[in-house]
Amino acid sequence: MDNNYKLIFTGPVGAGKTTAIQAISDTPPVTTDAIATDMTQNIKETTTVAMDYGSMQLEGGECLHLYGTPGQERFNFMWEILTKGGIGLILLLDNTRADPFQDMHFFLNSFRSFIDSTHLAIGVTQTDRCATPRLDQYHEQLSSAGLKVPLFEVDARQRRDVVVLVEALLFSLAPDLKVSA
Amino acid sequence: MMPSIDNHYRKPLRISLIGMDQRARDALQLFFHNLCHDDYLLADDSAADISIFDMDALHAQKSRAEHSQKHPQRPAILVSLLECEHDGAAFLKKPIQPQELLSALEKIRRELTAGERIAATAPVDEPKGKLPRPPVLDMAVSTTGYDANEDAAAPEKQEEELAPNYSGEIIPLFPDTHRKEEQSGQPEVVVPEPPQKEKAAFLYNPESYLQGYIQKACQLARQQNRNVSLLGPWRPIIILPETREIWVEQSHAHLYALSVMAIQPEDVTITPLESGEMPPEEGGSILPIELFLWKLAVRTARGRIPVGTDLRAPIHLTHWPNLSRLMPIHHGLRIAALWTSQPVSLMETATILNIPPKYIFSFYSAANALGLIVHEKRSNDDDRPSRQANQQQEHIGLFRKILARLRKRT
Ligand SMILES: Nc1nc2c(ncn2[C@@H]2O[C@H](COP(=O)(O)OP(=O)(O)OP(=O)(O)O)[C@@H](O)[C@H]2O)c(=O)[nH]1
Ligand SMILES: [Mg+2]
Repeated sequence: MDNNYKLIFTGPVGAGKTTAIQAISDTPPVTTDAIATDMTQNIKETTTVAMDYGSMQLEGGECLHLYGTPGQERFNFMWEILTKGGIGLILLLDNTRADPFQDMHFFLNSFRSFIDSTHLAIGVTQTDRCATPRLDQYHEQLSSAGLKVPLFEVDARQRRDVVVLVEALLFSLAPDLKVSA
Repeated sequence: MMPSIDNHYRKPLRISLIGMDQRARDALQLFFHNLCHDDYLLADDSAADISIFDMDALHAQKSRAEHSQKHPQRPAILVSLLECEHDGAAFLKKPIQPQELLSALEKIRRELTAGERIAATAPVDEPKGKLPRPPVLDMAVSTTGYDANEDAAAPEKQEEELAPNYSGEIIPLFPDTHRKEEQSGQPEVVVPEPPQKEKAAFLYNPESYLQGYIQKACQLARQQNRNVSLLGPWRPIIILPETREIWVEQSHAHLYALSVMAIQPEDVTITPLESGEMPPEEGGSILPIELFLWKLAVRTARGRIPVGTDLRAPIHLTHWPNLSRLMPIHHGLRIAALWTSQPVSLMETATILNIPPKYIFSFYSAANALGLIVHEKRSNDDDRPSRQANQQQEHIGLFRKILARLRKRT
C-alpha cells in the first residue's frame, strides 16, 4: 500500500465535493450520485449516496486517490474506513446553508482525530450566492475550536480555487516544502 | 490643499521624462491628469517644453549632459534621492511631494510664458482630457487573481511588482529605474542586517501613502461604526464598515497607480458621515476592503516593510488570509503556512523557506495592513519540532509530487 495515498473531501450536501474532485482528477470521477430523495430533494437534483472517487497520477508511478464522502449524514459510518491512510482533509462548506457553522462543527467533531493527526483546509463555497457569514466569522469559530487552518472562499467549479486549497493543505503539512522547478 | 489652477485657457505644457520607468510615468501621468487638469502632458522628447530627469537612473549624468546640448533652452527639473549638482535647473528631492512638483512646474510656466518660448506647433502625444489606460490596469481589476504558479519557485510573474533594489536606493515615486537583475542560483538566502545608512532601502512609511490614509479611515469607521469619507488628491472614497467594503469613485487602476505617491496629511480629510449616509448609487464601485487594501499595500510596499518593523521579533498570523481571492504574492501560501504554525521572525522565515526577503516583506506588509500580524513572546516549547512536522517528513517526496502535478495544467 506504499504508493497508495488518499486525500479526503468532506462537507454537507451540495457543498461541492463532487465538483471539486472533478476539477483536479485525471480521470472523470466515479460518482455514485442518485436522484435525490427525501431531505435533499429541494436542494439539488442528484446527491452522492456512496462516495466520490477520483485520482491523480503522480511522477514515479504513484497515485493520489481522491475520495469524497457522501453528503448525507446517514452514511457517515463510512468515514472511518475512508480516512484510513489519508494525508489530510479538505472540508467544503456551503455558505448558503441555514447554519454553516453548525455544519462546520459537525464535521470538525466527526473527523477530529483524523484532523489532529494530519491537517485540514476549509473551502467556503457558494459565496457568490450568499456573502455571509464572512470568513472572519468562520475564523472566530475555528479559533474557539482551537484550530488555525487555511480557510478560503472557493468556487468548486474553478480548478484554480481547488488547487489553492489543496496546496495550502500541503504547505500546512510541511511549510518548508520546496517546489521542484 | 493643493495649489489649484483654474485657468481653463492655459496651454498644456509638454513634458518629457528621462530615466523613468513605466510605473513612474504612469504615476506622473495620473498626477498631471487628476491634479493638474491636463495642464501638463507627457510628450515625446523632441516635442517637449520641459524635461524631468531622474538623476538616480543609470547614466543619468550623461543623458542630462547630452540633453542640455540638444536642447540648451529647455528648462529642466531634476529629481533624486540625494542632493545633486543641478546648475540652475530646478531640483526636487525624493519622495517628491505633489505640491513641490507643481510649484516647480508653475514657476517654469511663468518663465516660459514671459519669454514666449513655448514651442508652438509640435503635436503632443496624449490628447487632452483622455487618459490612456496605464498598463497596471490589466492586473488591477481582477479579484480572483490567484495563479497557482505564483508559489512555484520558477516563474517570477510579480517581479516587477515586488523587487526593490536592496543594494541601491528605494525611490518611492520613481522606483526600480536602475534595478539590477537578481542574482540567480544563490544557494542561501540570508537577510543581512543592513548598515544604518541602507536601512531605508527596505523600509517604507505606510502613513505617507494612500495605504496609510485608507487604514486610518478604516480604523475610524470601525471605532465609530459609521461610514467614513476619505478626501484627498483622488476622487471620493467611502469606507463602509458594516459590510467591510470600500466605495471608490475612481477606477481601481488609478488608485493603485497612486499608491507610490507621497501625500501630505494637509491634503487629506477623513470625516465620519451622518449615520445612514451612503455613497451615491450612480457611478463608483464597491469592493471588499480586504481585497483593496491587500493589493494597495503590496503595490505601496514593493518588497519593503513598514518603518519600525523588527526583523528579529517572532510574529504569527491571527488567521490565514483569503489567499484564493487576494492578490497573489510569490510564495504566499508557504509564508502563511509557516506563520500560522509557529512564531518566527522575518529573518528566520527567509532562512527556513530559503526565499528572497522581498517576498516575505511584501507578504508581511499586506498582512499587516489587514491587521493579521501578531507579535509574540516566544515560549520555550516552540523550539521542539512538532510531532506533526516529524511525521510529515517521510511524506515530503509525495507532497512535492502532488504539487508538481497540480501545477502541471492539463
Ligand atoms: N454558484 C456556485 N455554485 C457552486 C459553487 N461550488 C459548487 N457549485 C455548484 O454547486 C452544486 C453542488 O455541487 P456538488 O459537487 O454536487 O456537491 P456535493 O458536495 O458533491 O453534494 P452531495 O454529493 O449531495 O453531498 C453543483 O452544481 C456545483 O456546480 C460556488 O462556489 N458557487
Ligand atoms: Mg456529490
